[in-house]
Amino acid sequence: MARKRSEGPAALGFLVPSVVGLTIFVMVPTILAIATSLFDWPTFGDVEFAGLKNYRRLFARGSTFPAALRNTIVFTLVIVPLNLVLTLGLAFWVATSRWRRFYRVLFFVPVVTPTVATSIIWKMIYQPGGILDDLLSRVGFTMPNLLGTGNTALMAVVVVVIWNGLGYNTLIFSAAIDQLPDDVIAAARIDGASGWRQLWHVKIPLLTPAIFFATTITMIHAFQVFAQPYVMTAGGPGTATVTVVMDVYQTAFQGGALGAASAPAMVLFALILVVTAVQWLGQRKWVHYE
Amino acid sequence: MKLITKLGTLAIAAGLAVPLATGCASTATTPAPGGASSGAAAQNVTLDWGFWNQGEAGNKMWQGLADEVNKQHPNITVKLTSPPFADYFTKLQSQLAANEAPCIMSMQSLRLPAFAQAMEPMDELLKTSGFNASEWNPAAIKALQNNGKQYALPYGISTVVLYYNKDAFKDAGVAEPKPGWTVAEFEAAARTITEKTGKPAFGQSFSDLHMFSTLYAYNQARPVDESGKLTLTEGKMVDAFTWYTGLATAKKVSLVPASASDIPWGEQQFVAGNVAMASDGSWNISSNATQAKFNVGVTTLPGKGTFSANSGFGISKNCKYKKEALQAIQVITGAKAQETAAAAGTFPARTAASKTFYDGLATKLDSKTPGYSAQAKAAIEGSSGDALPFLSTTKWDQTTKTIAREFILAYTGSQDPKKTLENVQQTAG
Amino acid sequence: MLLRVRHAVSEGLLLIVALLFIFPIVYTVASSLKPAGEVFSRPPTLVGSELRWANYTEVFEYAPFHRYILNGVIQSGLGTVVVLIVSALAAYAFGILRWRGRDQTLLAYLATMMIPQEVLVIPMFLLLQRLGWINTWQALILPWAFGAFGTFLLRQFFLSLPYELVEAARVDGCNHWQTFLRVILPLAKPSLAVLGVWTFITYWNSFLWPLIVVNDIVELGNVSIGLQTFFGERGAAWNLILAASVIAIAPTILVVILLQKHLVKGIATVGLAGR
Repeated sequence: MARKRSEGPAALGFLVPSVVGLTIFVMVPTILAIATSLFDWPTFGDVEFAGLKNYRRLFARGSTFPAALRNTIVFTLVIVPLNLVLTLGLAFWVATSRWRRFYRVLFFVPVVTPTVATSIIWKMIYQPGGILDDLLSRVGFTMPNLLGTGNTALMAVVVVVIWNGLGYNTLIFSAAIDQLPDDVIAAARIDGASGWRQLWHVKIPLLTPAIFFATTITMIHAFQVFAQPYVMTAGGPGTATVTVVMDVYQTAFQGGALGAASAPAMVLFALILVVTAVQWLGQRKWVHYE
Repeated sequence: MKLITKLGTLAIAAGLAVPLATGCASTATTPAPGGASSGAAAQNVTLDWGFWNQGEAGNKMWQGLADEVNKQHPNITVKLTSPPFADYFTKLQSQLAANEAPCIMSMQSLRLPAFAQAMEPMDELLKTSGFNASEWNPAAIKALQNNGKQYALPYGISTVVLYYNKDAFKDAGVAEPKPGWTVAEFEAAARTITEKTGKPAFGQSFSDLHMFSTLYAYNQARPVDESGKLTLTEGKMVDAFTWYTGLATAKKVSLVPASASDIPWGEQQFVAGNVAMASDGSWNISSNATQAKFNVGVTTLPGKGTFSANSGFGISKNCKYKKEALQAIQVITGAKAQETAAAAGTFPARTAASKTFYDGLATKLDSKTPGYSAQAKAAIEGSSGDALPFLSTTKWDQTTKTIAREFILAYTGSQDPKKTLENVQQTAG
Repeated sequence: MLLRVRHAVSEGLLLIVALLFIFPIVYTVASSLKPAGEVFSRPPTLVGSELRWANYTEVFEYAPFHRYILNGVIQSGLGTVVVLIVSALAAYAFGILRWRGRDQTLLAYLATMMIPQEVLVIPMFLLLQRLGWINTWQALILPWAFGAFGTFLLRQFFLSLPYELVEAARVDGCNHWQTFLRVILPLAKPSLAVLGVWTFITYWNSFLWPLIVVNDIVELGNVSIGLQTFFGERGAAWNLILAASVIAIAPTILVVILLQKHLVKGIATVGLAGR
């Protein structure tokens, strides 16, 4: 695919609005945020250069960062595969239905509901004496305090996070499935592929650009989960559901220490970057583009 | 990156690295004639006032007081902004980071240690402003002091008291508590009610004021000492906390929060009618009785003593018009303003207005629950005598979150109370 | 015959799954009609002692909620327009045009999405203070309109378009701008709809940034901020919060329904599927 002349100059033209906006509104605050992590920057008081002190304090005794990092990684490892499998499955299932447009909107409702409201409702559902407890006790099963017990709190929050976001990937995959080229599918059917084989060997490979997109985005968001655990368990019990972004938020806005808050954010940033880069490089192996 | 954009970025980054000194968000519309010391015509000044949202009706009332400032001092205009309460202090942090804090800063006594640095001590200004300490409830004034300096003028004063469900007590055949009742009487009542109703009688909480007041009443244990240091692992505190958690784990007379995010658990469960007793602030003495579908009774905490807290209005350090700000604050907390607030259900900081408060309570609630206003008076007066202002640390907000996360482990019996206190002390101390 | 039974069973199961899935929302709506003290009643009930429709009118008495909705619609609408324009242009550069360092630059773009907003808000606030933009409409719309998400999404779409179409246009004498306008954009309607919906929702639900940059809550506050005003110093009006949340869902659902038709199969075989 050799080009006679590079399309670089044209690209620059198209990129101007994006680059200008990015530079002013993204690069500048980002650089400042990175720089902040090297300072002792209380909300009021003197700003002092602190070198790597903020980073070292992350792993000091009494720091919640190791737990936060562990939880964040667990969140991501559980949420991403579960979300992808469920949404892909749902998208294919909905595609077979006569009322697929209705289902797409229905599954989408939690996505647009304010997180405050959904977290509160799920808290009420999970509560001892709440609806779930009531239902399970009728079948003779006593439910433990899901949000108040260390073992179950994390998974309980995971359920809510997945429930919240299910609709979006389902919508994307639904749209992609609807646009699967008929001719290729027909050709495959003629060749004898039907049902599961058709799904696995024909449709899914055609969907890999969408899957790649959904994986990347879901992963980036999973690493930054904050609102649901914050509202539902406030990071407890103990440090069972503290996440890195929660740590960042609390240090910045409740501890009044911006420098100390930037350090964990930078660690998270590095982590996400590495993971995404690895995914990005592996693209060629499994994503089928045009 | 193109050269222009590179230079632009560097310029902006360099500019931002210099600390900003733009002063607070207040403006003068007419420059003062002559110099500042002329004492001649006062300049026209618009002051920003940040106060957490009080609901539509409440906001209107406080806006009315802001307008009153202009009536008494025609050169001062006060502009009120009302961020949601839950986020007022979050927003304040960012405003302070950019030196954009409102001139008139509303502040809770609970959070004063964390924010005192950003506020202007008032003592000098008060001397020449006609301030008369005898008009005020001494506890209210003291609560808004830090290191001996006055940082804000109060508009109310509250203590933590014990609310109970009169109907539940009657049904269980337990005598209603009187102010000054003991821990033993409390436990006996809780036990009987729990047995009779099959539901735990008391609601535990993570609310710092409510919970620590209950511990203080038990054996005078304090979470923070006079110097502002966290003292959770001190002997008395360990004893008190072990007792408190034991109410749920050992004695099973208390309902435990469902998760660490259910901070005001006990109080909410009480109003919903799910528990018969809870510690709550006297600031809810009107609303609890109104909202509950049962007859509410109120008395002092079991034991001796309680903590007091309040909110008030202070001046941010970067305010350019501190004298005018104090004048505005004095109107907002003036005699007339306090009468308005008292009638609306806030226990006033000025002693003269307390009668209006109790009268308002009587009108509103004595028909629903006979004798309520008298009981409220007894509870408030009974608790005020032994009330200590609640002292917090400079990182209190973050500490309360750590407290909730760790304490739930102790409340549910998953972790030893002493170890729990040690964990929090280590993280937050 | 068997196929029809299987299909009916499949439809039935899907309906059950969907109903179970939507139950928490139903619970939200039901609870929003309860009187104040009953939201947390034990044992839990679906319906309270009465259906208190007054909760919905009280929402507007307690706070100027209609204003928050209006502000939200304006901000989200304008923000979506900006994002669509900027992202589409950038996506063309990253997806259709070919130049050295393209994929690496995109990765750098993507990297900017990986820093949590929580840590960027204070520097952003300082920047806007310098620009004099505190408490303005542009402060709410512009700072987050240049994120890489939109570029990435549209780029994926553009990449799966048949390149022959572009080549044909170039052969016909179209320059890149014309190719972009006349060939790519019309085909990209589904992806633009997807991005539009996402962007609208993100602006609609945004909270931390509006909290920090807005002083005139009534003038500029969005629905998320408005909802928080129900959490008072003395406790929260839960039934009103739930009612307000239900009200808040409505405009976004409307947007989704309206854009639904752009998400179905177009005439050309394009989309997030490879060829």
